[in-house]
Amino acid sequence: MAASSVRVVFVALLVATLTSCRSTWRADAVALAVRGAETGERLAVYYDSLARDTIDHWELTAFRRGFLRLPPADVDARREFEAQYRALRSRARLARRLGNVYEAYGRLAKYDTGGEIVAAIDSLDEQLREVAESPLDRRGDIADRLIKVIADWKQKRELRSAGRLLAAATAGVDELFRAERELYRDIVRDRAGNYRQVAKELVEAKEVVSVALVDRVLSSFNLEWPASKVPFDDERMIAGIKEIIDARATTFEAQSQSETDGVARALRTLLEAHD
Amino acid sequence: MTDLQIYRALRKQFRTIDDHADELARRCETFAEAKQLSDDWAQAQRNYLDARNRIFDTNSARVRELYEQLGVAQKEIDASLQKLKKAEGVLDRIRDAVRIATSLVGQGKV
Repeated sequence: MAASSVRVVFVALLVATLTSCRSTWRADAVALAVRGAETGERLAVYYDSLARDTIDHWELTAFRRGFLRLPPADVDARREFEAQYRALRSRARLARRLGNVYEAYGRLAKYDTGGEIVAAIDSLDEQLREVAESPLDRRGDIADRLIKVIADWKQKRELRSAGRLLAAATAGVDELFRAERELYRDIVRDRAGNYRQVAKELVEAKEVVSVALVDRVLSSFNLEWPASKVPFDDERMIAGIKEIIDARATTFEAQSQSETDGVARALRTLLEAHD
Repeated sequence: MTDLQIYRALRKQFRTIDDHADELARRCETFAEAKQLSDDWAQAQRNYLDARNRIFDTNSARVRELYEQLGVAQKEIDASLQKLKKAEGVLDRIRDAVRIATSLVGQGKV
């Protein structure tokens, strides 16, 4: 076999080996980008909801003080609530940027450098042929595949370098989340506690119609409360309704807290996906 | 005592009042007592929030740093994509030049 034929076979084998895992790294990088963009958005939505909880807490506290007929206090926590709101909004912005950078990483991963260059060469070859014989050698696909291998290698390097930057930033965001997790849980708990207190205080004061809370039990036996649009007067009923509010509030709070755990898990999984 | 320990102590103090505010309000018999409860409640809340914000503040430098770090990553990724598109761009420009040359040849101007 001539030396040139051996070289061609060698190059063909090398190209075949290098291109065999081509689609995997691209798909992996795209999957990482999708996961990162979703986690960033989920985290941002979570921080936004904590910021809303902050406003709710502020307003409900003011309502409760008025409702309990307490005189206005000499001190005011507005400034502290505003500072907390700003802190949470800045974290939401950080989380959105995290998602955006993962989206950019996805665009980089999706771009088929090798394919685009070969297509451009084909197009150029076609144009040249209209003028004269093209100097480009378009006889075999080995050259094309070699171009793709080199282009992919270059793209892989760019992706690896971007991946390292993203992994470091994601680790930082994860660390921040873990350091402040207890505070986030408290914000959720305080807001849920306030809702529960307001509901119970309104029932206690016989200011609201709470029959809907026991309607489900009654309707199962085709029973109906005689005057359904009147607040309960009976102390035993009031005590029972307050217990239902406590039980439901616990469930609502648990649902909100499970989102805290879910976000923490999503960040961990994203970090592990970088390994 | 760490900031977190102080925070936990103040949280406990605030919740003791907050969880029983209605009961405590009912027990107030004079305006002075009601005013005292109102002030204590508000002050406890303020202390609790202040302790929490102190922890947020401590971490805010890190938040800014991460935000900047992500900005740099975004720029580098965009630059990488542009770099990869460059080879294709060069070929596109050559192709445009060839197209112009072809059209000039066709018009007999060359």
